[in-house]
Amino acid sequence: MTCELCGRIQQGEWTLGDFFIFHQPQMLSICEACRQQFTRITGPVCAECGCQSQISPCAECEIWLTAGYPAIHNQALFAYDEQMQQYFKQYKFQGGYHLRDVFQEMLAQRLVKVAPTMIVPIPITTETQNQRGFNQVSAWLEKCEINEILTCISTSKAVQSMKTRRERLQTTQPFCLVTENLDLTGQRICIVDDVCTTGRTLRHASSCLYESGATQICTVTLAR
Amino acid sequence: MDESDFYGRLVPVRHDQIPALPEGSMTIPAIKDGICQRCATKINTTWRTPTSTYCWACANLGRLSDDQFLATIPEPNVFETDAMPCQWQGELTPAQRRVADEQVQALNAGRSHLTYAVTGAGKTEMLFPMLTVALQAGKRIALVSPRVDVIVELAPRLREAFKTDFVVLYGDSPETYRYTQLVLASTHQLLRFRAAFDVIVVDEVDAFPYAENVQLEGAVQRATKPQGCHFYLTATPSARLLRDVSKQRLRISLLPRRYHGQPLPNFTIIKIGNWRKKLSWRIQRILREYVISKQRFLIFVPHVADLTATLNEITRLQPSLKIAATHAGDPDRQGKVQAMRASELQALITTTILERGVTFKGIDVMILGADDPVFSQAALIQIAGRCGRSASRPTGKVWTGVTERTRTVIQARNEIRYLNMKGKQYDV
Ligand SMILES: [Zn+2]
Ligand SMILES: [Zn+2]
Ligand SMILES: [Zn+2]
Repeated sequence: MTCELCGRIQQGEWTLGDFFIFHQPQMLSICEACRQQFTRITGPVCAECGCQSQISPCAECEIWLTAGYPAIHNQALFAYDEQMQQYFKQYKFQGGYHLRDVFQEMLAQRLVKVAPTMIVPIPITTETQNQRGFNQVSAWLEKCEINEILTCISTSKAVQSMKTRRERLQTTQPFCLVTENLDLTGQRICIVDDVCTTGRTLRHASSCLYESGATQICTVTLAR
Repeated sequence: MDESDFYGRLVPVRHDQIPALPEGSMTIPAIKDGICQRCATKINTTWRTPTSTYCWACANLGRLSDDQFLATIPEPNVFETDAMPCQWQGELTPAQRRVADEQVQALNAGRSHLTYAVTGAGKTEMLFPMLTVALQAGKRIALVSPRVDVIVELAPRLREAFKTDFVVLYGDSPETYRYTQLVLASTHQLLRFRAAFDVIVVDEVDAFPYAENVQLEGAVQRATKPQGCHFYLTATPSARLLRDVSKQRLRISLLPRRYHGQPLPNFTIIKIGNWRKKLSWRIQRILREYVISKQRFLIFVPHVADLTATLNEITRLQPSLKIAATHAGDPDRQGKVQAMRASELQALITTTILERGVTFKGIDVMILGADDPVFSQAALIQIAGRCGRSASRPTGKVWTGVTERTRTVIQARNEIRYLNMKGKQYDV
């Protein structure tokens, strides 16, 4: 199988265990060497956005908090560096759905540790859905139980009623719930997104869920 | 979209767009029987979203899926043709003239043709007479190369030589498509065309290994009209092209002499041991001499990973040397190439990416690790060909540092020797 990033042919490593249970060695669409090139975030991080930072909250998050946005608690797995951008280009922008396999396992493991009562992926717009054909976050979480309870306002059927109630208050809020009057009381929710650049998306999603009664919200992004 | 956008092209459309297509357009499903109708690749079983199947092989042209269609209008050749399209003032040498005449004869006979000319023989200018005849005859022409660098460099030269309007198409090209008689493009872009061209010229036809060439070869074939013909230009023909010549599927013109008549500089092979660990004293001495003589030079290394280490080591040895490193993925590549052209840099370290098409006047060349398998025989000959291009300095040194003298290196040297010997039998 050819590695999708470097184009080299990768050979599967058979372990003795695989041999005994006649199990095909697992091969991902990106080779081991290329996977090593992604930079894991380790060491001191900003408790808000999850970036590698000596101070917490980091300077950027400080601005958001001062502006009165609710706090978030984001964990990011990887740095959004050149290698990650290359992956996003192929997976998200070129629409290589088969590349979802690369991070499925790692995200699932992290979510097991977080142990929320509900996993909520950030939604995509209908236009993106039509063009790309998949939500890049949900595709990573294929093997987890997820609740797609958020949707993008511009395309939601609820748009009309939203206008009267909330639009004047929060014109920038891009999300709403798929069904109105959803009661999230007592839920510990983990929101998942692909990359946290400013934290804006995550903050909006959080406030949307808090308004419906969520008790605790944390977020996980693949990159920061 | 304008009707002319569909002439000889494959335009992806959704089902609901079909009724609005211009009259006379035909549509086919984008993916049929598990085969992509744009690039002819068999669809891999993993290439599917929850709702559709897609082709990943040509996704960098915009992903096609099985819920799409490809619309086309058969090429009508409707453009204003100029009676005198060529405004080039230069003159061909008698040897170039001979090849140019042979190309025109092939065009008139509707036959495909291979021009096997050494690097620096003036391949581009030789094409002008054939292009002129084809343009006057109202033929639609594509000039393509597998290498984007070659296309970028060719565009301004062609604009100067021809009055004929043309688009330049490649991955990040700033131009959007419009219908023109002449098209300058990367070979890959031909996948967007179907039976559009009467003539396709493929420059540096063997720039990629055989396997990749097969895919691009298909793109060339499908973009050509049934009666169309091809002109291949190369300094290092593959065995496959030469076989087509011997089977008389292709006519050939040989030009083993450079336009200034001097022989091709050949490799000076030096054993340099483990150069990644330590640059040998001979290389160090050559560098010292370059710092004094101010002679400009290129250094080729096998891998992108070697660039920084080599740059650091050379800068440590010769801090005053103005040198930079670049590679295909370097966002500042054009800037560094420009600085080298303007002599702001004395030297540039690079991987094989600059081997073809890109020329600097009067440079020397140094290859570190020439025995590394990434340097094919063709690549080595191309690298040596960077040297001695100008009439004012028709010679040059090709320092070839190896850990071991491999067959590939020796064969490349013998090939240049052969061409130089052959060249003596031909006129300039
Ligand atoms: Zn790889
Ligand atoms: Zn932060
Ligand atoms: Zn395709």
